Amino acid sequence: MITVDHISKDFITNSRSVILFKDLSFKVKEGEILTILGPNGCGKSTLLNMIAGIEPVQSGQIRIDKGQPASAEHVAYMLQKDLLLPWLSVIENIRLGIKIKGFYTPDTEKKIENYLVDLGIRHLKDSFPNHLSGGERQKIALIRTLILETPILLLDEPFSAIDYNTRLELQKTIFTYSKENHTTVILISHDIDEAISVSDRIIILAHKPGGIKMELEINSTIADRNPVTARFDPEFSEYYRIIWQNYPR
Amino acid sequence: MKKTYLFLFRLMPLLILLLAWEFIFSSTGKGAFLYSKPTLILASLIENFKSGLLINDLKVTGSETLFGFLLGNSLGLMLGFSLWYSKLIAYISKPYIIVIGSIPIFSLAPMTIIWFGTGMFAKVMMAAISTFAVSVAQSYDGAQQVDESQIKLLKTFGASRWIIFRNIIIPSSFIWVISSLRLNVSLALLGAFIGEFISSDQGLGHRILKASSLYDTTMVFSALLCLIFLAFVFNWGLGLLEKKVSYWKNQS
Repeated sequence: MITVDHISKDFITNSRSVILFKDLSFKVKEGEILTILGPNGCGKSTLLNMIAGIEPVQSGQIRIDKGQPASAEHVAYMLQKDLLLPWLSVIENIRLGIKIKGFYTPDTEKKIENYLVDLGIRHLKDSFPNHLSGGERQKIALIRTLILETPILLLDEPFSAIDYNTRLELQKTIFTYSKENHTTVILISHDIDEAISVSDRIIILAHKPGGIKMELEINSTIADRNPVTARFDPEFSEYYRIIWQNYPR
Repeated sequence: MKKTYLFLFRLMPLLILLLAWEFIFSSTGKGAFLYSKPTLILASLIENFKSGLLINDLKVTGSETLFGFLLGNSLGLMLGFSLWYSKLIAYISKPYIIVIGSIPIFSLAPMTIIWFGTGMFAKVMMAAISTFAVSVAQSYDGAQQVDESQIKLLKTFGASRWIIFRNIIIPSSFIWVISSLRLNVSLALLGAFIGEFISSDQGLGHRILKASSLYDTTMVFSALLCLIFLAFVFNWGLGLLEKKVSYWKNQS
């Protein structure tokens, strides 16, 4: 469980104080997939940085589980840019995070191998990133994130720059992973379709100073729900309509 | 085929220069005495290589340059990178580096003789001092150019500053480092040369000084060609090193 408790954040730009958000509170249940939608510059990425523990919280608190503060230990973070290091091969890039975290075991290699096969990029194992397509690179970044096996997954628009088919494939991988491992996921997105098809709950943030404009539970009636089948849900368009009407412009 | 033609075109100016130089003065006149001639230089090169004179000079200047280059750059790179590592060190040392960088290094040459003697060590130190400031500045700049989001990524893994340094700063600033090394080859060579020029009994700087005071322009040009050859060898070695460290650019 993640508890965001009355946090505020402001910063100074051009000698003017800008309030990013004021008194923001929400909770994310264990194993839940929460999508945060919101306009540009409303502080979504800053919020995720604070949950990841790489940006300090000015006031208020963010707690993980039983009162522990946010830290890199619990969290795997995936960003919009794949950030593969060009001088490392694909497999070395994947190993990088888990080695730094100190979670690397002999078992890790087998898991990496399985992901590489599942996502159809096993043949690229020894290639270098600058020879790969955007989709392939983001797949590698995803494996690098998932093998950390942290209880929380933070995703900052990781699919915004890749083609539709790859995007669906990666959404599916994350969805299945979260449901199988009971991993809590916070996804930042601009894409309403994406939000409805992968999330259990959606939060829409308002323009800054950002507060929660709307919260929406997604109760799909589809039996074997995944990011593809979720789109067949008759309720899908209704959810879309509600979000569209409440989306800050 | 096209490439061969291009290469021939490239050789043309050199060829024209050599031919003009060769035939503009008569072999016995004043012109040849003052400016020498390509054929005379070639003959001198062959003769002095056979006698071992120029080979010895090449070895001396080459090793002074190499050791000075290695010493100056290792110290320079270490300091440059440590400036990234500690903001405090960066703050303290920045004005000093700017001052050191702006000293015309060759004004220090007489002092190096007083401090380090007239032997080879003084020349090594001259070469080292010549390269130091550039490599500090270049490695510090290189470390500053690193993509901030890559650092952010490593922070999400809980990486310490040392791990970030090792995994990101060093490899990604290598491009800057290599270019500083290239620049430093000629500075190191110049440092060693000036050291020899001021006081020595061997090396290419000594050879040029001695030959010019005897109006032996042919020897001056021969030694000059040896200097060019040294610079070429060093640059070639650095080219190999560059290829080696940027292996990931060419492999698929």
